[in-house]
Amino acid sequence: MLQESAGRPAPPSSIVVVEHLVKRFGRFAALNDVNLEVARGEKIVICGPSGSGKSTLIRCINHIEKHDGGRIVIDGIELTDRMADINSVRCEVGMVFQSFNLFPHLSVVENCMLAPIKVRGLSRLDAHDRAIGLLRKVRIHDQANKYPAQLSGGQQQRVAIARALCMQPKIMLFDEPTSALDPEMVKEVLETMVELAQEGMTMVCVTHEMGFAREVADRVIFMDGGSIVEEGDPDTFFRAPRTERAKSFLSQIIH
Amino acid sequence: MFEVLFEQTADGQRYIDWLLSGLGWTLALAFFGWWIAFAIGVVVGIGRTVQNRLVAALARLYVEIFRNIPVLVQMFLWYFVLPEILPGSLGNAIKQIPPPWGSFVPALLCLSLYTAARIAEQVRAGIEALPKGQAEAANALGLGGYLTYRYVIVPQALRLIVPSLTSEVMGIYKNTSVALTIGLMELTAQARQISEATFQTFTAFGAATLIYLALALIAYQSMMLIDKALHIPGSAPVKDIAGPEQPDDVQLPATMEVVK
Ligand SMILES: Nc1ncnc2c1ncn2[C@@H]1O[C@H](COP(=O)(O)OP(=O)(O)O)[C@@H](O)[C@H]1O
Ligand SMILES: [Mg+2]
Repeated sequence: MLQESAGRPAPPSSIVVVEHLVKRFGRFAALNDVNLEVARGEKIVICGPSGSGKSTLIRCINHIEKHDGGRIVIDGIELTDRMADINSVRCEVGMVFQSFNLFPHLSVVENCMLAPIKVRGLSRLDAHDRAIGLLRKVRIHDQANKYPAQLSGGQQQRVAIARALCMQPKIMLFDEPTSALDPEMVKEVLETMVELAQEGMTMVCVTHEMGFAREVADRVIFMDGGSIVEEGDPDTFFRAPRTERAKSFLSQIIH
Repeated sequence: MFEVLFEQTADGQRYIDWLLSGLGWTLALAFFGWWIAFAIGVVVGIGRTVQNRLVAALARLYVEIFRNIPVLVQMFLWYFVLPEILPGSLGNAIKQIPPPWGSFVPALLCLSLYTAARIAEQVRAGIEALPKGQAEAANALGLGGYLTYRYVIVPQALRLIVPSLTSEVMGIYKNTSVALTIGLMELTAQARQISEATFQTFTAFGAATLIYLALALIAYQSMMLIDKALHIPGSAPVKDIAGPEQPDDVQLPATMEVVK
């Protein structure tokens, strides 16, 4: 008991710490000295023009991209080349992709059960219960035995959210989760994300949905050319951006 | 026209028994060869796609060697050359293996290693045809390299390549006839023997041809059933991604002296 409390430092208040992050593709620097801290429970929206490095940043956070410089610390674990660290970080970090990336050969419920069983070591029964519970939460439990190809885009994305939640992550990353959806399906996915935010999940979302940003974001981060150019609370940012680049970007997405 | 097959042979059997015994060896060679080839092919095919450069290079080397040497030459390498290059006693022991095992084992090795190289390429093509997002999503869920291949990548890649694996099944079973060159009395060899004993060339090879065709049909239909059984609900039927590349049919030079 005593040993345990002595050996385990109090969890740091920031769940994500990114310091001087550099990521290159060949000679091209996709991320250039990016610094970001995410507090527990905080909701961050990242926006910026296409190619500004938004995806690269959140993909570095769970080491789908390997960074070339700087430090990334997730919940006290620094991401280095150590596979054990990488996998334990990935268990705590849920990710939702623009293109859903459900496993097409597994049914909806199996998609949600795979990682909890194989990685977390849950029994099939427990994994099934958890999966059904979370599918119910995203209101898609009646489709649990269907296959991804039998669902609409919006339904698939909600399954992808449930699948990530089944690992009981401490933070969720979203990379433009609604950009591949038909307009009528955007709402159902955003509603799910809003509910998640209201339950206190820590979230980092790349999205251009300003309504969502205004409703849930504690902070909006604007990226351009591989750097964070501006950040602030959503009201101020959308109403009165300070930088020219943010102004011209916002004028483009508002039309 | 096939009456002659039911005539008595010199050894008290009927010619059809020769044919059936040949069929037995053909099937045994194709069946065991296929499963060995499939197991090796999947492993080597995965090896072609992993990050580790050494593993990928070794897998590539395997494929290039075994795919590019003609089956007939490989057959001779296993049967004639291997015992010569092994240390004396071991080489002699191999030469002493009584027939039919003395030719069955080298034939099995030859066909499975050759077919494995071809399957490995199909497996690699299947893996590379999958969207990158699949492995990324698996990794993002905390599944490591092994679990990602085992539960996400390989099951999808294999489904994708069922059509081209069908040609490989056909390929290995047609290539079994090359084993007659090292003295295995499989179907073609028996047909030849019947033809020599009865001078009924047309009947002997006609019967063998019909058997080969029937087998091909059965193999094809089984693969179609497998394809259907593995079909993912809601997805489009898979296309033959590796292209309709058929195994090169092995042709014996006309003047070839067949080893008996
Ligand atoms: N795998 C890659 N290889 C080479 N360049 C890449 C790769 N991924 C992204 N990039 C480049 O990095 C930059 C940032 O990409 P990305 O993070 O996807 O931008 P965003 O998500 O903001 O649109 C882009 O210029 C893109 O072309
Ligand atoms: Mg992007």
